[in-house]
Amino acid sequence: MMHTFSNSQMIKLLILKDWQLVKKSLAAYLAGGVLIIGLMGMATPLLFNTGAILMITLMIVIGARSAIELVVNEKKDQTLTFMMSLPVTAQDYAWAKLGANLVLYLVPWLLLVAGMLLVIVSSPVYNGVIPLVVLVSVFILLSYCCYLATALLTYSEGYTTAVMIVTNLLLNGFIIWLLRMPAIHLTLEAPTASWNSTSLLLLAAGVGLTVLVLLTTAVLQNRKTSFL
Amino acid sequence: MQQFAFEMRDISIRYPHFAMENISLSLPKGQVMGLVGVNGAGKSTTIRMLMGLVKPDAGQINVLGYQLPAQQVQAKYDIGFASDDMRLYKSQTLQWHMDFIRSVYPQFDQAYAKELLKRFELIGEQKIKGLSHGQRVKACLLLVLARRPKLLVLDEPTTGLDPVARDEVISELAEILRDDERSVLFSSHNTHDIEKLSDQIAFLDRGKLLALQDKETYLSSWSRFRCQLAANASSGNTSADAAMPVPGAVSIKRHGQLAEVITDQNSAGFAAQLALAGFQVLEQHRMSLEEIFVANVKRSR
Repeated sequence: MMHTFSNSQMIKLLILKDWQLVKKSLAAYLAGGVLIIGLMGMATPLLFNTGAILMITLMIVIGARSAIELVVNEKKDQTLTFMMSLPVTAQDYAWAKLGANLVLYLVPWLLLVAGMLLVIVSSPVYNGVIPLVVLVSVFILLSYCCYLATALLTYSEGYTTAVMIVTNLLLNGFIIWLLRMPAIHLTLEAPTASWNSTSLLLLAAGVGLTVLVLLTTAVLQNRKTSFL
Repeated sequence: MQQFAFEMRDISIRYPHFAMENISLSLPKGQVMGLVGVNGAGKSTTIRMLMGLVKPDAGQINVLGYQLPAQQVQAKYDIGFASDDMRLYKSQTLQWHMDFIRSVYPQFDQAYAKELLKRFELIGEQKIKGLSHGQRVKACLLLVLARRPKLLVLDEPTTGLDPVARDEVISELAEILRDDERSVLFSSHNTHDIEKLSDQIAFLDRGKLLALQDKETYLSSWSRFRCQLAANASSGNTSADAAMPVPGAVSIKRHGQLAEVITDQNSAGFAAQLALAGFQVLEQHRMSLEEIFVANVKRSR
């Protein structure tokens, strides 16, 4: 790890390069996010629910595009060879990819989640939905980390897509499971966000698993002796 | 003391269906080495080890004074690498790539890059997706050459090019190599390119180094003789390789009373050996690298 960060200048350049590659599409997605948040802010049940579905879709699309475009396609389009000819190790490259993907996903993810929460607290929408919105958003973040890890460790479009499909299916199950939990659904129409022990435990588990997936990815990357 | 651009000593690496054992290969500074071999001979594996991308199971690799793969970051500042499977970002322009490379390599020579743009007839503002394969190869070479690397490693750069584009790339490369005092490792299964550019030849086949020699010595050590067999010699009517009664003969093919003899120990002494064995030399031909390559590979199998 010490060696990795001794090449921090190159890691920074690789992250900046990835930013330049996706900045236009990211701006388009964020513009779409603003429209969706506006829709949710109309505060009718129909528009809020429609906006929520669109927002989930947008978060998944941003993550999928990020992992596929910045990691899998780099091998598929054979730009990885070009990158590895630069003064970087495989570990530097992996750290840069991890950093770039996290920044380029976490920033829009945070903006979108913050936007949704802002709309909820500043409109007649029940603030009781906040734990549900946060938990679902964290689940989407965890899913993203899972297929990012798959992409980084395998560079396989097939495996990455398979993990995307599985996590998307699990998301549906997760939402249904949450809505059936009394600790969650009984507080949905509360005037304030109700962070009870169940929702806090789920939040901690989601964040903990996300960190675990990222750390495991970093450790496995560091063990690689061959690249390309 | 001999200064080497790179030195590989007793390198071994094993994959499930391929292995390289005890490979030792070195390139003196300022020389151009052609690495020849059929597909799957181990050329790309050798180059990947030299770039620090693959760690050998045993042996030592030193490139420009740096131990690899441990010091690959420092080494790669002075190595320029281009390969046939290297692509640039399709959605970006060549100028974007030049700016990116300049941000990585402080020694990036902008004036030289502009000169290469003109020489390669490339347009900086053109997106990579609009370039032909030949133009993409030239773009990759431009990005590598403008860094003025001390060691240039080219892995099959002309593969997939049509004959005209290949000739253009090789001619430009030959021109550039004459101008600069840099060491070059050039891998190809196209022996014409290797013959044109190299000072040294390294032959790889099935993970084994068959030969490593300077080009002129190597080419002159091989020769083909067309011979008439003496009347008392056995006169089988076959084109199959005969037994080799002549020391130094790599192959002897007989067609009735005529025979074609190939040697890798060409000298006046070899012609005398032929005469002693009952072969009257009618003609002697210098062999092309391609012919030597085929004969060498056949002998090793």
